[in-house]
Amino acid sequence: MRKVSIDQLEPGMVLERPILRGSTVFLGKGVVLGETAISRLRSMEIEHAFVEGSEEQPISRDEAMTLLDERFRNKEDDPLLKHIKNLVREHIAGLYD
Amino acid sequence: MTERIDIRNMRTRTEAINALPTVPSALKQISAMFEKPRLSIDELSGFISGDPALTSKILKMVNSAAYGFPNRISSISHAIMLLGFNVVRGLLLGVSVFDLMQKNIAGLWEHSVGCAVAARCIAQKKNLQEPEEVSICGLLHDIGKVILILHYPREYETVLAKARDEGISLFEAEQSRFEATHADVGSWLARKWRFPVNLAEAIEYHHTPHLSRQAKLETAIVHVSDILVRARGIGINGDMLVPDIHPESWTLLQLTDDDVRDILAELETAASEAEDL
Ligand SMILES: [Fe+2]
Ligand SMILES: [Fe+2]
Repeated sequence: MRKVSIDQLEPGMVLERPILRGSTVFLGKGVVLGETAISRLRSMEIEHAFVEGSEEQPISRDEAMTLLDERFRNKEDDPLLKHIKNLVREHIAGLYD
Repeated sequence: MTERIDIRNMRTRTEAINALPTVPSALKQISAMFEKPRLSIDELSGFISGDPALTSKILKMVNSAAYGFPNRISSISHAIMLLGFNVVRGLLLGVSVFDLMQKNIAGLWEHSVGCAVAARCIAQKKNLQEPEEVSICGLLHDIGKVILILHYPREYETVLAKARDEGISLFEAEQSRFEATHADVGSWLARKWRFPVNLAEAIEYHHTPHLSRQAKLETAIVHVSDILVRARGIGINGDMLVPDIHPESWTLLQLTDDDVRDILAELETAASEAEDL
């Protein structure tokens, strides 16, 4: 899931969360956006939509890994935390594929 | 070395939240309402519905990925029906301290929402009856930090600086300066506000989960959520480091590697939504 601002929507993007107007669904999950849908969305009072695809990361992979090491500093002796750290490292790496 | 702050004074003082000029009047009203021995569903829903800003914040929250209801919840009474009285009460408190969190400890709100999401996810995996109640435990577990900073602004600044400079946790830094920690303060208020005992205990023991007697599972869930959220680096909550993990909590929950991967994936989605709440 990726959060994009309404001006960055492009035809072909697929909604990952429905877009609501009041309490009714205006465009449902899974809808492929076309030109008309996008221009109608731009005339509504919403700022973002959630579409398929992976989130653009605010920092580089190397920076993310350095920060991970910092958060876990002094914890290298704890096998359980080490295991959790490995899972988090895999998870972060997956965000950059 | 300055004198440590005595526990009896602390309890009396921190419970008197309505005496503080720095507390917004909305939060004072909520505090007074929660102290009443009998609060009815109508009173609660009337109070929230009378304030459009509060209403929309709470509805945004229950309709976010953090709760994951397939159909939109469109009113406060609907939310109370689906989620329960205590969950909506907890959400009301959560969104009401939002501004205080943002202003006083950058990142604490994101941390709290992250813990709410992780806690709900774990509660579902463990087939708990009320995963939303457990998510409120996550949302409110660090509320004592805000209360401490409001009552002891100067002292708490030194605590924050100490944690930062010495690379210790905020919990440890608090222990060196006060007779009680944010965990104690939060639980005092949870009890004064008549929250269920499992919420009070999850707050009280989230850094010392082995001491919980009546809510071992909820406390373990919040303890582990806190660690996973910090491990992923969501929010800051006053200190950066991943805290020590209590192995008994981990053993109690029996999370598989795949469970942890799922929780991390949910956190990713929720983090991008939390900015909008
Ligand atoms: Fe804490
Ligand atoms: Fe925390």
